[in-house]
Amino acid sequence: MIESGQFLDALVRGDRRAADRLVDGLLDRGEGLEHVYLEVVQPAMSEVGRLWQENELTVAEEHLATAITQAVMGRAFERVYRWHDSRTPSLIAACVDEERHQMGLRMLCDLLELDGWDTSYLGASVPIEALVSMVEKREPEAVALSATISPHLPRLRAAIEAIRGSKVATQPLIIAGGRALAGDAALASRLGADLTAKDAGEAVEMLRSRVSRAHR
Amino acid sequence: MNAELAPPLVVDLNAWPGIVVSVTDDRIVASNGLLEKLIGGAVIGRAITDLLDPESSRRKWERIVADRASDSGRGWELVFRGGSSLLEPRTFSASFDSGSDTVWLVEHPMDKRVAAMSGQMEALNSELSTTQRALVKEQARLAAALKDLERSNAALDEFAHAASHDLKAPLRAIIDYAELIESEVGNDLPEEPRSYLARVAALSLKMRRMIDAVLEYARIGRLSSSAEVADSGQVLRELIDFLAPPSDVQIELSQPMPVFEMERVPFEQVFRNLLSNAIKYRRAEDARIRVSVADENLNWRFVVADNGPGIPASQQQRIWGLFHTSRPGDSTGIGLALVKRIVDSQGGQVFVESTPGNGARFSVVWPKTPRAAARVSR
Repeated sequence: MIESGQFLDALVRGDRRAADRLVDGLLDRGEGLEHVYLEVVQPAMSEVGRLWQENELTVAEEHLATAITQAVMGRAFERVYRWHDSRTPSLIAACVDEERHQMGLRMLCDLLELDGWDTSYLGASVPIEALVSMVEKREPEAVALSATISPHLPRLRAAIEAIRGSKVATQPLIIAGGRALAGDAALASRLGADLTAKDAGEAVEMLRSRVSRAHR
Repeated sequence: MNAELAPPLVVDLNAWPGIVVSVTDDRIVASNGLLEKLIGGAVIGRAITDLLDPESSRRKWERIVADRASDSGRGWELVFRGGSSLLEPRTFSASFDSGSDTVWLVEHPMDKRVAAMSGQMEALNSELSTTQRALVKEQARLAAALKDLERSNAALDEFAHAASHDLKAPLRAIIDYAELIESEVGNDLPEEPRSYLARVAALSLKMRRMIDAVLEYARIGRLSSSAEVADSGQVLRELIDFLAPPSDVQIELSQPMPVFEMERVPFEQVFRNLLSNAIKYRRAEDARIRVSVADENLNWRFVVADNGPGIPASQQQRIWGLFHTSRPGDSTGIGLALVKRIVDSQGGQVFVESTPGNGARFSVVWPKTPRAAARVSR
């Protein structure tokens, strides 16, 4: 993927303007956000992770790449997003751990939002009680949770149990993901989740097909 | 630790974890005892690959071994397995002992303040990005709501216009027919039916005034009007001349009156209504009206005070309602409703204070800076 390679170059150089220009160019050309996120940003960020493992990048450089990517995604989303009424179904997304580079969840939310979902992206380190009270208040059709590292799996399980115990008319569909699960359906279901996906693209597809049947 | 191996790096080995690892079987052969504290347990004799976080760092060990020939002097960021406190990568230097298959891994001292600051920056950046997303959604929602509002305003305008036009045509005919009857057979009619005819004509005219007033009311705040710098004293004096108050009414303007940028037409509408009300509802003799102004930072507070009969407390909230009047015979009851709607649309406020028998004081708080729309359209 040439664009993804160019985006990666910009990230490795720490050149935010170049990253912005690249994505602006793609959107100008009529490419959708889905293409930008799944074909350009996501492969580039996996490559950043691999380069760290290869010791080609330091943690500081990886963090800079993450910060640039967050900013670029924010700009792209702002450009393409249009409000439309009767926003259903709805989704609440949260990271159960302190991992702050939850780009997968953010991508999931943004892409569903363009489909007409009402998504709330709560970010990292959301207290479980806050998550449950939000679920009770909004009664979303789906909740997406992610955990990046294995030591946080018990927290993920606790969050799922708390949601299962919440006072709602209909239980939301719970999709769990993140590096700690790596799309392992058996592990996700042992933790109490209904679904798991290996990346944002797969999660979008799953939620589109699972929730659309009930709601459209 | 193995005393025969001299530490290859100039670091305080008592402060930072250091181990010696065999490249042939990945086993740790020596340690200064600090890595044990970090991961809680013995390390000598164990394979380093078991101690490293498999997801992030096992491959790095293979790279360290492969890098042996070039020995680039790079630092290696490694994550050890264990509790979550170990998840931050630690930077190690790798130095091979010449002629042997062992490598020294010694942690680089790291500046904790820099690490803490960079953590803070990262957290801030993420928060910013989450907030920005929520803002984008909200902004889009407001833009859509504004579009809806503009659509419904336009529809309301159209409705008010059509309704008033459609109501006025038959009304015009009623007035014409009443006049026709009056001119054809008026003189032949007995006095009572003739007075009914006069009432039909008068009430029809009143209804036409009310329809015009409703139309005007519906348009307020949406008519584009541009701001200009005007002398409020001059504007008020011209208004008073136009109203031509009876000679027994004394109207006084306090001095000086401010010169400021205003939308002149709505300003005139407000004070024309307040002044004509004060004239209409005056006391029988020695009627006095006084207009004064006070500077309230962002606003001018104009006060129109009279010494008329005043307004009973029970009426003071109701006077702002559409068609409310204490004199149904000669008033449409739209004046104060218009005043309130105009002042609201300017971003100001209007109040009344009154003790029955002691006059009324109408305060108009008028922004010193005109609405953005008025400024842009200039």
